[in-house]
Amino acid sequence: MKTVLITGTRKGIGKALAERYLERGWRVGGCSRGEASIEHPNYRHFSLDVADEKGVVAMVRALAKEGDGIDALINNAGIASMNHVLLTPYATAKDVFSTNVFGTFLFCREVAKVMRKRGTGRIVNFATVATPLRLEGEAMYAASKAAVENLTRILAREVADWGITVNAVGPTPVATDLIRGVPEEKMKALIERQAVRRMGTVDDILNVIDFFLNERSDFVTGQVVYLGGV
Amino acid sequence: MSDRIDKLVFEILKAFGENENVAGLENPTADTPLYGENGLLDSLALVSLIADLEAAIGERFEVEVTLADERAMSRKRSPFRTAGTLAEFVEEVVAEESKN
Ligand SMILES: NC(=O)c1ccc[n+]([C@@H]2O[C@H](COP(=O)([O-])OP(=O)(O)OC[C@H]3O[C@@H](n4cnc5c(N)ncnc54)[C@H](OP(=O)(O)O)[C@@H]3O)[C@@H](O)[C@H]2O)c1
Repeated sequence: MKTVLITGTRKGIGKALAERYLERGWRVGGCSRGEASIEHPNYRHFSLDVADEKGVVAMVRALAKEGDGIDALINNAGIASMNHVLLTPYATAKDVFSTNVFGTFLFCREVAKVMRKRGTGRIVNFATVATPLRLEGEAMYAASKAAVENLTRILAREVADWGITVNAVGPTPVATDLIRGVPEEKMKALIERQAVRRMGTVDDILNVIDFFLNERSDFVTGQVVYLGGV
Repeated sequence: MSDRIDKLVFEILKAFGENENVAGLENPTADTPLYGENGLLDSLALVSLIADLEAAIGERFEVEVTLADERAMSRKRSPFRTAGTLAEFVEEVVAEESKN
C-alpha cells in the first residue's frame, strides 16, 4: 500500500485530495491545526501546526514507522492574507511565512530524510498564480509562495541523488474558504488574466500532482506548473 | 546511558561506512575524523549520516531528536569533527530531549 502525507487536510483542497487518494487505496497521513474531518481506516490525522518543528518531526517519523516509509509528500497547508501592504500587520506577515514557507520547509526536510533511505520519493509543494501575476493586495502571500518556489527548485537539486523529485503546482482560484473574502469584481478581473478563463477545480490540481507522482516522472524535478495558462 | 549512546554512534558509523563505501570507517574510534579537516565525509555524506543517526536514536531510545539544530550549527568547533565529538554531542542532545 502506498503512503502519501498531505498537509492541511481538515478542509479545502487538502481534504479533497486526501479523499481522492483514500479512494484509490492509498494510506493517507494528514494534519491540520484542527481535528480530523475525515474518517477512514487508512487515514491517520495529526493535529499540529505545520510550523511546529517537534510536531512535524514526530508525525513524519510515526507515519514512516507505521507503514513502509512515505512515497509522496503534498505540502498543501497554506494561509493567505489579502490586504494592502500598508494595512498588513507584522504578525499576519509572520503567520503567512510560518505556515507557507517554514511549514513547507520542515516537512520537506523531515520527509526527505525518510525517502532518502529508499532511494525514491515525490514531493509536491503549493505555489499560486498570485506570484507570477503580481496580484495587488496579496503581497505577503505571493512573496511567501515565491519563497516556496525557490525552495522547490533548490531542494530538487539537493535531493536528486536520492531519487527524490520536488515540484510545485500553482493553482488559479479554486472555490474554498481561502478566497472567500475576495470581492467578486476582483475575482473576475483575475480570471480575465488567465489564458483559460474559468475557476480552477481540485481535479485540475490533482491532474498535475498525478503527473508529478507518476513513476515515469523521475526525470521531472524542480518545476513549477501554473494552471489556467498563467 | 552515555555508554549506550557511544555504542550506537560507533555502530551507525560503521554501518554507514559499509553501506556508502566510506574508506576509513571500518573501525571508528573517538579520533576518527568525520567532517572538516581530514574528514572522511563530504557534506552530502554528513547529511545522510545525520539522518541515519536521528532515525536510530528514535528507534533505540524513543526520543525524536534533530541533530542539525542551532546548537550544532552555531558552534565555533563543529560537533561533527570526529566520531568522539559527534558521540558527545549526541549524548548532550539526547539528555536534553529526555528531560522535556
Ligand atoms: N483556493 C485557492 O484559490 C488557491 C489558489 C492558489 C493556491 N492555493 C493554495 O492551495 C493550498 C490549499 O488552500 P485551500 O484553498 O484548500 O485553503 P483552505 O480551504 O483555507 O484550507 C487550508 C487547510 O490548511 C490547514 N492549515 C492552515 N494553516 C495551517 C497550519 N499552520 N498548520 C496546519 N494546517 C494548517 C487548514 O486546517 P486548520 O485550519 O485546521 O489548520 C485547512 O485544512 C494552499 O497552499 C493555498 O495557498 C489555493
